[in-house]
Amino acid sequence: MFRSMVLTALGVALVAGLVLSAVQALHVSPIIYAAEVFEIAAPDVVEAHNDGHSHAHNDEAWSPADGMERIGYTVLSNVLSAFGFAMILLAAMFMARDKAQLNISWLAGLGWGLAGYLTFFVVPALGLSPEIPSMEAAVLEGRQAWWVLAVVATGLAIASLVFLPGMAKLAAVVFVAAPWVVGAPQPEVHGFLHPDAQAVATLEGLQSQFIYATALANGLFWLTIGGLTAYAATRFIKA
Amino acid sequence: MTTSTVINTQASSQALASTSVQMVAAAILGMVVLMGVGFAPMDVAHNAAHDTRHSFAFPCH
Repeated sequence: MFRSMVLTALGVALVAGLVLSAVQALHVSPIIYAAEVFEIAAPDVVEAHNDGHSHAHNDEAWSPADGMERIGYTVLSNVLSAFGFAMILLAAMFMARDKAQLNISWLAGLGWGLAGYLTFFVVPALGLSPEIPSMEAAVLEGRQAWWVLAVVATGLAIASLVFLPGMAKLAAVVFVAAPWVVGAPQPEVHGFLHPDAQAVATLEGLQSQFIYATALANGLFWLTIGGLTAYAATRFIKA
Repeated sequence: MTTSTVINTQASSQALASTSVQMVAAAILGMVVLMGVGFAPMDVAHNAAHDTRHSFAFPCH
């Protein structure tokens, strides 16, 4: 069964990853590219060396060349992420079927997709706004820890509402509240530190566009992967 | 010693065959792949998955 789950998740991931890549290429990546122009131009990123030349910090490690190479790695990362999400969805769907007699169907899959969207995008993004390059943010490790907390707590909240009986459903309240009691890490300075006011205005415009673009792209991605994972599970996994 | 090893092996192969263990293993594999793409701190991993991390609103930079 494990083997058929992996193969099914790979197939689902190819489709959902390509759907995401298409929406991303049209609506999300252009905003990232536009914001990056300011990141490279920001004076605090560039550092003069003893040998007289200067270069940006991040150029020291390998990174894909702009154009096809970069898009290729992005598509690959999208498909790999989709595979990870599909494996988690499959495990959850089969556990819900075995322990709570929840049938697997493409329609129920859309429900799972909605739950995934809330868990992995909407709630974490309410605390940590989707960021464009060159935006000020709190220390990375703190944000990653809060993101994991928000995801786990939201998943448990939805599971409590759906699977616990009667008054026990109220446990969801605790899980919904937990990330906000802890509080998402916030940077000392909000917004953009670019010295040019015009550039900051442009970046702020890009930032609000980016929130809508990612909300749309992730919503489509999750409905696709939820429905498709459930459909493929009924077709290809015998258990 | 030998007996307990044999018993442990039998027990673990029975456990592996059970559905719930496979489900947990599937979920863990999914999480490990996601952590690699979304959270791995190495610059190379970050740069390759950069646009994906931003698109999923994973904490980045």
